[in-house]
Amino acid sequence: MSAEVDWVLETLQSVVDAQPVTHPLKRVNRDDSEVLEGNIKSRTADLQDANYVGATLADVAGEPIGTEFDQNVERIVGVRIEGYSGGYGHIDPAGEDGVQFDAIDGLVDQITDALWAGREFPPIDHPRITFKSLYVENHAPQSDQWADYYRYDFDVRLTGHETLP
Amino acid sequence: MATLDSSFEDQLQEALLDDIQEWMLADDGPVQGAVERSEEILTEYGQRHDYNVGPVIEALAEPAIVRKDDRVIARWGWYHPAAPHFEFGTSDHTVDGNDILSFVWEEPPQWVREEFEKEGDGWRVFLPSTDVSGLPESRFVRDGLAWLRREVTG
Repeated sequence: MSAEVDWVLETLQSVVDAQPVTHPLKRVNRDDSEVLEGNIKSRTADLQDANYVGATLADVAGEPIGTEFDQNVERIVGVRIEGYSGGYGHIDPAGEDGVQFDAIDGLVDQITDALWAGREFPPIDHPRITFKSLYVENHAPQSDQWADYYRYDFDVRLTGHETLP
Repeated sequence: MATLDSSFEDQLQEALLDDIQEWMLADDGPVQGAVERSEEILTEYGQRHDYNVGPVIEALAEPAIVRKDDRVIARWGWYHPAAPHFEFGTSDHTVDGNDILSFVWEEPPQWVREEFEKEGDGWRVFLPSTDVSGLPESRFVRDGLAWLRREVTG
């Protein structure tokens, strides 16, 4: 578990709450779970239960500042959103029998909007790092690979300042 | 007293962009560094999962520079059909055989080499159907770009 992944998933609480009761969104910490790994088609049963969003800590970097024991840090959290529009799925491009996926104000927009809201001094509870800014980048829509499966990946890049003990 | 030509700002900008362009594309420059970082990640990923990533690495489209009025854009990529699958991971998929599937498999796993005959560049295999297991994601392109950004902004 990392504070950054926890924060991303907690921030998405408002999106979870905003979903229609019949088409829920579930969150997964991909560092602790296999739910969003491997074969999307083997997850059809999961995706008939709910749409999913998962986060994983993908990259970490730091650079010392001056001669003191402080450093500039960068954390990248990879986010993946998945849904299914086949039978009992919760995605519907028309927005009738499910939520819209990558339409304007669809599920992907709701998730990125919720994260962008923390772009100035993202309030991540970390004992040593003060985070200064957040960028949502490296958008990679991949739904074109399948007819009924929807997938969208992007990165949340967090930059901040770490005070070393 | 020195006189400044009225176009000195433009000339200065041009000179600066020339410098940036040269530095970006240098053999030890940041773009080459990012390409090498991506290739390292991909090679390590290939070794860990026993995939042959060589053809993807060889499919590198050498970095090219597009010069705009006020910026320099570097472009490169790996033009191989497997490149996006290595980058993002992919699903399992099954290739169904018509009664029996027969093909020449280049670079097969060890059990194939023991069980089938060598033919041409690979091994001639006969299988009822073949399961190709899903790939995990490697992030070799995205992590290479992250490296580049730290290099040029650090």
